[in-house]
Amino acid sequence: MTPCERFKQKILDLIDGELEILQKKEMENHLKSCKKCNDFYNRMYKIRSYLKKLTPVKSPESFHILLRERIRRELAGKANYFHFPQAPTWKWATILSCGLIISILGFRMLDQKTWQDPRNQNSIIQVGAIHPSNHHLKTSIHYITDDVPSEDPGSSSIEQQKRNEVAGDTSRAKRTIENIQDQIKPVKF
Amino acid sequence: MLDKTSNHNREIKQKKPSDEELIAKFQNGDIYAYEEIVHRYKDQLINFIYHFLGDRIDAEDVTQETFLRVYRNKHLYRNIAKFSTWIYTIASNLARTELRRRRRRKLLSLSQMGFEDRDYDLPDSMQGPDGILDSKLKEKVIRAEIDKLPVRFREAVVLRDIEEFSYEEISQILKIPIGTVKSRVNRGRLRLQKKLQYLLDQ
Repeated sequence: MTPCERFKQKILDLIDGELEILQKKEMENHLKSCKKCNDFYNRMYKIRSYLKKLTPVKSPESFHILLRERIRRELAGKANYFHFPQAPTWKWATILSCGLIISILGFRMLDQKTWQDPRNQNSIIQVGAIHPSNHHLKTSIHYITDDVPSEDPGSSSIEQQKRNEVAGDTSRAKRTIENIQDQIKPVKF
Repeated sequence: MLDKTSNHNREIKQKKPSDEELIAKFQNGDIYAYEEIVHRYKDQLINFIYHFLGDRIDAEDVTQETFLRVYRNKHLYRNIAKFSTWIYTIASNLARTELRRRRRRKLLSLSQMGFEDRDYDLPDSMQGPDGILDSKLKEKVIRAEIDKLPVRFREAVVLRDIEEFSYEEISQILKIPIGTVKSRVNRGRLRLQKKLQYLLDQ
């Protein structure tokens, strides 16, 4: 590093008067020997003194009055609202509501797990309960879960025909149930 | 007689409460303490914000907002930092917000203008040495150049060279390390030096 580069690094401290005596002397000696650095120092020093000499901007006489008016307006605005509880009350209210939300979400997730659990034999059959009026669906579910209702010898030929129709369309029934499994949320009994 | 007067003056000076004492009184509900704080800081703050924003009306508005924040959030001040650092932090944050708002407004108005209408540059300060004889004009030129500095350099230079804060205080106000403050002040001064070279060589 050249002496000029070192000088430029420390020029700020020199101008601000924050150098130790020895360092200051070293810098001053360099200034005497290097015209370029001397010019640079003078310009930087001048800049600082110009900035210091800038006429300060003063507040207008009406400043106090305007500020008081602003504060009065602020206070009046507050008075118009209903009284809010103090900060600590807000803190507890926030904590309580967060706890409530977390517990609701937890319960819902637990329910979802029960629905998705393959070991739960009843879980698929529950789907039928959502649409009790849907005869086709109900029958399809029974078909897939090997829980086909026993044939009643006394049942009418129309019912027999319906059962046959559904049994013939297994793939469609399977697809329907897969869709429903994807879309329908767990049901509580 | 003279001795008595000087002693009396010294006593008055000694009795003058510090900023920290004033804010503590205000926190306990003494409104006169707040008035005294406003009286002490209004000119300093308006000067700082004016150099930050470059507009007097905006500076007055932001200064008032600063005092309003002090009034509203007096309970947030803790006696671990200097009061001056705290109030300047509020002021510089508000000034920065105002600058951002202004930039957004400018962008909006520019996008609504036609190409020919986009005449938004500040008047050229390089009028040549002959034009800058008057000290007031010189001041105007310097202020214009301060305005053109990037915000990070501007705030550091204004706090150091105009408001005369120590590097440590600036570091607390701007919440940046002292080394960064020094570097910003130095770079800000260097930029000004380059821009105002013709003025400095006179």
